[in-house]
Amino acid sequence: MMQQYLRIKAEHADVLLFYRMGDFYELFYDDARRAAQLLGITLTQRGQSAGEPIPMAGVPVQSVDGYLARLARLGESVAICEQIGDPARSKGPVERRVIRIVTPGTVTDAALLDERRETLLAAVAVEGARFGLAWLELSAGRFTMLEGEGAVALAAELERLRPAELLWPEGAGWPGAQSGVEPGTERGVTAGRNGRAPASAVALRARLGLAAADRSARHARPAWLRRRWPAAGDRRSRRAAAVRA
Amino acid sequence: MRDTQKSALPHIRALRVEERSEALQIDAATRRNLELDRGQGSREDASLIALLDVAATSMGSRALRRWLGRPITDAALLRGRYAAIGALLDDLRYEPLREALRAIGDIERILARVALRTARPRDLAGLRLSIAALPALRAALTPDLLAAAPVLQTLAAGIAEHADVLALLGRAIAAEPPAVLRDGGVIASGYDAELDELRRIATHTDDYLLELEARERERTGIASLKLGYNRVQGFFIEIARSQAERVPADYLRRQTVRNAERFITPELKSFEDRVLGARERALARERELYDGILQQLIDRLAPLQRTAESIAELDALAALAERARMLRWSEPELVTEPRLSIVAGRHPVVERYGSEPFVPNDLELDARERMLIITGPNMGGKSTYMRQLALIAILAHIGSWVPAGRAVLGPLDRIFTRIGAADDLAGGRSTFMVEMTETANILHNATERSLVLMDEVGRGTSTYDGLALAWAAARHLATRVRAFTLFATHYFELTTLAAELEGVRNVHLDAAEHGDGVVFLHAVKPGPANRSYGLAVAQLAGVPREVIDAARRRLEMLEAQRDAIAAAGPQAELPLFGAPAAREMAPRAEHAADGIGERLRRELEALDPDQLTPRAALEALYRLRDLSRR
Repeated sequence: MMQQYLRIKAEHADVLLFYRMGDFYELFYDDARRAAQLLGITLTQRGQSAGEPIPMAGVPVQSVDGYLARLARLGESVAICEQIGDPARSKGPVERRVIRIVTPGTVTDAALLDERRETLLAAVAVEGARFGLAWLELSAGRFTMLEGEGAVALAAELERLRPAELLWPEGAGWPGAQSGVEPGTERGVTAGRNGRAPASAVALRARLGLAAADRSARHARPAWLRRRWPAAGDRRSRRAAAVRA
Repeated sequence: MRDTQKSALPHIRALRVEERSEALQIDAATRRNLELDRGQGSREDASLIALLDVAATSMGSRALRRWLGRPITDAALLRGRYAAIGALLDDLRYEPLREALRAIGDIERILARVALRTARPRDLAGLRLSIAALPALRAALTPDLLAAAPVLQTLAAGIAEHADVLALLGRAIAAEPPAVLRDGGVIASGYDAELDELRRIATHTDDYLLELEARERERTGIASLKLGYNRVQGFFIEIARSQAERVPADYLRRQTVRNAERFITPELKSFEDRVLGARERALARERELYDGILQQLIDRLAPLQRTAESIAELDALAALAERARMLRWSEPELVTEPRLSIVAGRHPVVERYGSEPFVPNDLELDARERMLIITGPNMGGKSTYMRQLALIAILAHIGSWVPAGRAVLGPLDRIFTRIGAADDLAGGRSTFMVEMTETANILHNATERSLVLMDEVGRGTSTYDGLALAWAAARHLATRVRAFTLFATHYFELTTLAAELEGVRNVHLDAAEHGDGVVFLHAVKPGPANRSYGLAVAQLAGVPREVIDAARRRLEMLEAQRDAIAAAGPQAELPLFGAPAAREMAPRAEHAADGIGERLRRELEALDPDQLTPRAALEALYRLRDLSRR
């Protein structure tokens, strides 16, 4: 079972993995420590690996929504790994698969959303003084972008949109830096997700208090901007066209 | 995105592209200062949106927030919204409309979950209720209402009845479905014959079990024999321990519990298999049917989304109509010439949350008169007066009516504010640095179509620095930028700008001495204020009597000194402001310095740092220093 866990975890290294075991979603190792700290749940142990007990923490399946909502508000992303096979009929560990990933900007469950406020995932690309900003309200299907110039203008847009999650190019630094808007000061401008998805291939993750820890994840790729921004616009337009079609 | 949802995203509509130039631009600091989305300080709930948002649906709330996030400059669109609000106010037609809207759920988000195939059974029940409420909504949109406002007509056209969707959901989904699909009971009976049959087998077991129980009692002669069921053991026959040895041979022991033994018979086992098998197949069938229903809804996504969007905007307009009536707002008038004319304007949030009756004020700016220098006592209402103008302008640009007796607005492109701020501790910048950063932004970016509010610029530094900066910034705004500017200041020296520059006028907030204290009248009057009432405010705040008295003596002394200096003429100590001749000081001083400046420049140009020894460099430095001292 732990082999299966580690294999799945390797594919979702940068998010908390909720691993379904019967009536609980369990977390292991660092995920367990982190979740225990963030959610105030009990940190316990399960079995041993290389002579060391494996840290474990879990939340009951029936109350998972509340925990997901809290984690999303804290800027955390969570991969939900479900049991796909039938436990009664399978030999060895039951088949499991990540069926969705909850990130602060992509939640759609009613329980995780503020009714009267939009929950937005935004992405920004900067080239010289110009910037492009695109945002998606997944919970409504609204997808918008604009272009502008200057840090003040970008800060103005971010202040009005207050995205729950913001992706920006790695190595470019926090795009609101010159404008007094700080990442992660509250619900609002928070985590960039360090996704492996092509659309956010070099997105940078930053969170209040974790900025230093995350610095290790930065790989300067200055060419990114030159290559990526025009392409990003095209790709998004194409996807929008495909959606319409 | 696809990665996180593990699903296609059929609900994402075409990419919209916003042009910044089509919106009234409001920078981040201004948005916070004006408390559009959140109040500052102790009243976090006292914001413009909190006041505005009485929407009947959450979709309407979010539409209002979107509008307030991005006020627009398209006058035709705005006038359309004003007219819609006017039409809704006639005969209070917004009331039945809002009543109908209250029955409508969050269709927009339900549709998103449908599209992602994560919609829960209760989402579909909610969708059904909402669609069922559409005819009443359409009925509230009467022909004469629609005829009065083309905007409403367009929105009404977007709201279809979706009778087929309603019929599908009515047939397919149980009246009160459980929260999750997992345990079944979601699909209504009568929707699918196969499911009905499986359910009949799975659930109509009672008669059979009662009959079996009676039969077995008779066969074994054990009166206490009972049939039972639990999820682990399935069906069983329970017999008290004391009777257990009397069971027939075909009874197989399954479990021993306190005081009783549980058995199963071949007949019961085969019954169980049939029932449980049917249950499982019923659940599988339900999942299949549910997926099919989601797919049918996905096929209807676009028109349903259009309905949701139209309802959201209709609700937002109805909420603005309600606000216009409840808060006594009036329809603004947009004109093409430069003008800001407000009669009896109010600050809507202060009026609503403040404890005292609000004193309305007028304001008049146009192509010629573009700047007001506002003086008056602290706490006298300068900030409120300035902010209310900005809020009126913003409300007008989201299409709302405004808190004023009358409001006439020419075209605006941006709103800037430089309004008191706390130290930016997190950013490590002092109050003064924040102040100057914002001021720099305004001076660089404001245009003659901008509205600029400057409150106590220069307060964050020493008196002369601050005064000089405030004076220069005001002058720049009045002569170069020519923006519509309200400039509140406690530097009385700035009031002379009105005499010096064209288009600058003084106004002041009124206060009256009342015994030893002061009463703020909050009324804006022409001309500069004559004194600051600072001591009176200090006394009001509870500063000890001795301190107030000492301050009063000191003030008299300072004022006497100032008057003496003023009498001594333009060459005296405070030359930059005041008498017209003194204003020539700055250019003249520059002029006088020109000769030395020019020589310094030539000297510097002659230097070649690459060729200098350290000693020669030091000598050059001394020479330059001496030159500058002449």
